[in-house]
Amino acid sequence: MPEVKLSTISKHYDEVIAVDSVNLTVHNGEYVALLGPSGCGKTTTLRIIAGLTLPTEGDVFIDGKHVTYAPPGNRDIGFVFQHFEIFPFWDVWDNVGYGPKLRGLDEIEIEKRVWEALKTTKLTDKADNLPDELNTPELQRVGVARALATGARLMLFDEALGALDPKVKAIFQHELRKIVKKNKLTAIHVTHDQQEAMAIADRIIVMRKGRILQIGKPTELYYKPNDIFIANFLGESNFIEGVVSKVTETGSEIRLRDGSILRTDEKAIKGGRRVIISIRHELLKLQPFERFSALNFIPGKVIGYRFLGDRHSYEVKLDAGEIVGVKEFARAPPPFKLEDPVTVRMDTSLAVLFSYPSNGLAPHLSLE
Amino acid sequence: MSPKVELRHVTKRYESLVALNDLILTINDGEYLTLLGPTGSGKTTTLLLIAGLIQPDKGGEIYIDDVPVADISTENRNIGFVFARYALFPHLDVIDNLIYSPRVKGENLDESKKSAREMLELMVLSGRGDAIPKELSGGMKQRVALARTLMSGAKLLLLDEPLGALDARIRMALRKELRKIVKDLKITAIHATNDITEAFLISDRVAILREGTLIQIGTPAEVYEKPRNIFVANFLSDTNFFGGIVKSVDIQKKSALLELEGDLRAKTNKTSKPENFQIVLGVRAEDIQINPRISIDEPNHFNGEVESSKFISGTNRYEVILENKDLVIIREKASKEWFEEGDSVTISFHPRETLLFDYPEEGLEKALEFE
Repeated sequence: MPEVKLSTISKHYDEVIAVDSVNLTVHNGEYVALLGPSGCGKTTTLRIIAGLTLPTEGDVFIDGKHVTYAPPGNRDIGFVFQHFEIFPFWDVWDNVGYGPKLRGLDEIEIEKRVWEALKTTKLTDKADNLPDELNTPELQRVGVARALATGARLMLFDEALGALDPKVKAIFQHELRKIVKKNKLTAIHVTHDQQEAMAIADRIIVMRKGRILQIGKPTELYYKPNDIFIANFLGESNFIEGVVSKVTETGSEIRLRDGSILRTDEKAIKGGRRVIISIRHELLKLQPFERFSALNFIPGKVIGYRFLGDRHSYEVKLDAGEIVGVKEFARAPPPFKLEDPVTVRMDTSLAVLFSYPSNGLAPHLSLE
Repeated sequence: MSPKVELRHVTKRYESLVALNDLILTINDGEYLTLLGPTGSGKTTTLLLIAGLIQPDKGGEIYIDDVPVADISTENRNIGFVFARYALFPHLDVIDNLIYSPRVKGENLDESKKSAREMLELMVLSGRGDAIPKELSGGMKQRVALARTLMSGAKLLLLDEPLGALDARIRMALRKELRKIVKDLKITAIHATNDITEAFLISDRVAILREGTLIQIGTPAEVYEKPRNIFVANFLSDTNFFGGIVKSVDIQKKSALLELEGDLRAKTNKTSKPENFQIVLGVRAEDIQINPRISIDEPNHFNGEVESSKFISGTNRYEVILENKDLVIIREKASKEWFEEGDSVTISFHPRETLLFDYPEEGLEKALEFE
């Protein structure tokens, strides 16, 4: 059963460092996502695991075996790309059977594997169809079926769902996860879509500029990001500037620019420090403006509203200066109008404090 | 004033394929409209027709500002468009691409350059002004093309998946900006997308297309709250559907009792269908509550077991297998308590949070198909 280990892997192209000293262990039976913006090194990392790209430095181990320089064919890997390379003149059955045949299996074993793979991917009634008779989601299934039929225990997905309509994609994400889990496979899935990463993976590896920033379960990355970039890249966060006005046994108080106070359970930050509080859109609630000052009740004015189906999305300009997003899950019509003065109630139990970055906020909020 | 666009009975056939079927649609002066639908629903065809890049079949007419445009060439329709294949001037750098139109019109060069730089900042492209197109990634080129169109001075914009090639996160950021810019410039915009969130975030009205036919048009709240059929309900949100019949109706109490396939009973406040009528009940994923298993024999309470449980961006998404083997999808705001795979649960929903449809002649599965 495959466990994948990368030890100080780097890849340089002339001056460009595509992957910078990456250490990573993917456990047997685990489904992980490599997540990051274009050019962060996630695809290069995957290709190094597959053996399609050789690293400049470092070692790759699969199942404890050193495979850094082994050809892809010797690594027992199933690979699914966004642009599925399917043989156009072969029907689905023959396409899926290609891998097992290449491995020299006998007819009965091939038939068993192809049938299993088609059943798993819900393609049994398409077995005799040619690729040009299939739609995009079906072709994508053929790609997955083909990888499964090889019998490989390690699956690599490179933006494999990228070509699908969003609605179809959302359904397929959950199916893919089920297939991987039910067949007890190990899977590594490259995507730039944080929603997809959370939907499919046990753990997410966030990369930026060739490096790993953080590895964790979706809830860990979402609620305990170790970097402003991650707080901004996953989900939707507000970033509010303030100064630590008080540190107590149980937390700290942050004075915002309009003098209102946010209290958080996080401590260990020295008084007087300039900080950034990162808080999720859905942890803010609006109520009619009230002229009193209490901790975590911050005054502002509604400047934007959009109906998003299951939720209301407001933009509020705080008196402190920031424009914050507020997401409220509710069915009732929106109780606030543009220009309404409001008090924003902030649930800070899941807020995160960052020291104000010495090079300013902008480079950390860049999406590249 | 920005242009009003009208399509009157517009049909477009390619041999046996009907790409667009008798489309009647008005886009108002200054309106931001999205054409929303899956691949192959006729969105791009509609844009190409308005642009004059293809012609409607006989009988159909397109008006821009009440003038029929059949004899007006694309160049003379004063339209800005961004199609999936972004055509930039390959030998010009990004800034020169952006100020091409203002320059041709003889506008002040320094000011154009200044607004070009501001535009680049909005498009997350600061510092790329000197690059030539071939040095940029596909997503960057798409943003330059969009920026150039926004700077062209055109009062009617046609946008075909203008954010399609972008990283998910950049796409999220640009949606809001795009709407703001279009509204600030008082442009009429028609935007084709297959992404529901994008359509809701960006547009005044949404036109939902399927297989070349306009199914429903309205504000995001209108189409979401009152979907015309099960396809729309399912397309706009994860909705659970149950086939069944109306068992009894009490109009005064605004309550109908339904008998659903798989031995389930449900109550709804929708009383428009008569007794014994074949119906489909729809319940959205976010309208279902999930609780530990209780022993209760009431309508709208079903027992099951959690098959999958996943945290996604502040929400929990569950798949629950009911005792009759039906699969139900539930989404709720994440809280400190959640259910794990294998947990026994009772799910329930309010009679008010239900959608009631005629049972589709072609069957449920066919009526829900995307492509």
